[in-house]
Amino acid sequence: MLKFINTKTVIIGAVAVICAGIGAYVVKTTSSERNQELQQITNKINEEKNRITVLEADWSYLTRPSRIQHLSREMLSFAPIEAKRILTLDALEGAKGGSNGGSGGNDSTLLQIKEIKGLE
Amino acid sequence: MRIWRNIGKRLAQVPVADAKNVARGRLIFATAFGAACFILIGVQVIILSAAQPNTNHRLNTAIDTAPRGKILDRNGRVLATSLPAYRLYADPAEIMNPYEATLKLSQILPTMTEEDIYSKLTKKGRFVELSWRVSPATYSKALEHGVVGVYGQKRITRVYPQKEEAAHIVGIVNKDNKGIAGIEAGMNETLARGEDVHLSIDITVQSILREEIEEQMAKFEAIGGAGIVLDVETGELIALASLPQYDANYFSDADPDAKFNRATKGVYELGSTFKIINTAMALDSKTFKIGDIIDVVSPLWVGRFPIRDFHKETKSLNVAEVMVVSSNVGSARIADEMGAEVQRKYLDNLGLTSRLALEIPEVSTPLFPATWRRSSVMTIAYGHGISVTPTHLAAAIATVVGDGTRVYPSLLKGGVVKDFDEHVFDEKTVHASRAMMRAVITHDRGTGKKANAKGYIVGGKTGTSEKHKDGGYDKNVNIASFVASFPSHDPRYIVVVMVDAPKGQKFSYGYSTGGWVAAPAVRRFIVRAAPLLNVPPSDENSPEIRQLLAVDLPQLNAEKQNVSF
Repeated sequence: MLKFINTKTVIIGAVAVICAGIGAYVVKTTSSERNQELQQITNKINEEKNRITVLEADWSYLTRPSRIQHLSREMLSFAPIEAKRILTLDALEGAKGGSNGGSGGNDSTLLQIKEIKGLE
Repeated sequence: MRIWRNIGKRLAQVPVADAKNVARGRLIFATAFGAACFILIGVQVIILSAAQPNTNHRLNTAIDTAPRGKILDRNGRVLATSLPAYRLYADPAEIMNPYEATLKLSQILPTMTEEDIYSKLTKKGRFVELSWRVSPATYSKALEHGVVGVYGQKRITRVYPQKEEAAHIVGIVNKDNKGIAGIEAGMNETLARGEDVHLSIDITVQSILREEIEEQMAKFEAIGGAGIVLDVETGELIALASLPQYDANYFSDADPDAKFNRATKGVYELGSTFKIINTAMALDSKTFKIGDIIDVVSPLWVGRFPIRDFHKETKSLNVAEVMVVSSNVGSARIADEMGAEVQRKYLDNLGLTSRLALEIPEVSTPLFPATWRRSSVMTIAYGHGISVTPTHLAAAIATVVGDGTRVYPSLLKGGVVKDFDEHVFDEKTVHASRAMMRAVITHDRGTGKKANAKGYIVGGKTGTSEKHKDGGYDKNVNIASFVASFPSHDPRYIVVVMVDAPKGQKFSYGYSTGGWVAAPAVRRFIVRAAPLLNVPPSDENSPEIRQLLAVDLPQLNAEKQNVSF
């Protein structure tokens, strides 16, 4: 019945089985190592995400308009900007054209620009 | 036994050559058996390694990222977020040395006094809560200090970093992280899916508005206030404040009055600010032309009650002048002529008779008469007999001075997506309304001079009404309001400021009217916020703007000349 099984076949078979076993063992160990690594990275990502969320909340808390305003008043003596100190680009362009052309130009605009320069 | 003896006998009988065969056979059999076992084990190993990895939960020490979406303002500032936290508790029975534990814990929990910690740690029982919410960093410190008997329970908490600011809009969640107020409730499904919600609110603009109203409240010893900034084009609410406020992180400790949203839930008779709407209706329905003369001198009675003007007029005024000097008599006559049907139709079209449609649950339906009598028509003309929320008013005024199509207010960035435009007012009405609102600010007799933010071409209207008390009105308790549009010639924003129960002051000569109480807040707000809202100053003396805002006020101007001579 077992005629076809000679020593050679047995040895080859045994070696194959052992190799398969070792292979499987190695694959398994590596995969579980990789899994752990993946888990650690996922954890790290989550930790970082959490930290980002916390930092975002911190940032929002620390940059509360009321707080910034209080600080700017206390430390920088800032005040709301007056309307007359604000110019649109069009107004600036008009002023530029005026000075280039030598004549014309919007006097009031130029005056405002001088005012702004005086600030610096 | 017998079997073994038989086998022995047989073995003895077997010749040597046969015995060799038998031995070989057995060897082969044993090898095959071993190999089979090996293969089985090998197969098992392969199956196991191919199987899904068994997640080891103990390895997963990091907390999963916050699942509930964030609430952000229009510039992405965080208004509500979920953070990992720990509930820190102790088992007093396990603490051997409470002194040492107290010393260690007091370093970790600076908000608690040592006596407090010590008394908790020495309590009888097996459970004391040290803090219902500590950060993961604090918790890990507690672990590092190695205090025996102190434990932490992981939890996700909702945090509101802006504290009081916009608290009424953002709302609150319950212990199960389910929204129960504000956007947290109104957009609960979206947030629960983990999606962020971007609000139309600009938290900086919100803060400025809140501060300016607070200042007026303090000056006039008022009990509350509300403020709204509405984008005329999109209907986006850039700011929506209700005062007093509460810290959203400590909702349960808040005063019930502070929790009440005056801007969207509170309904008020907003007084003369309604005259903008009344006048627009009269012009749009072609009942009157802007130059038509209205009798404001002879007294007007509604049944037994007289309609009175704050300042008694001596000459008849035209429609525009009625609004500039804020004549109740004139407005009532205009409405009376217009009739109930027309008035009701426009109020309906402006949404002033329906529940405020907004993304939060704290909204109200206006209060108005069940039967629309002549008296109702006349009082509604100057904002009495109808109570609406300040948000209702802001949206209606935006409709009047915008492009005449109905404006739907929204708390979400981008506003409400409309399928079609609902046309309410003609262009001519819109332009006339803008010009009249500007004259209220610029004319000597105008009631809103204190709202004139130079450079920003503000238009507006004051409102003062007596608060209800015991079924009637309380003459001494006002609602002072102001509604403004700016820049008036091409409005981009509507600002509504309402102050609840201001008291007349010495410096205001005892007045607690919209012009004295609310208008200054609007002016200061616009000066500060216009640069943030990207509204450049305009030259009010430029011919184009003057022409756009020109309105004929013959009687008032004649008076002015008489005064100056």
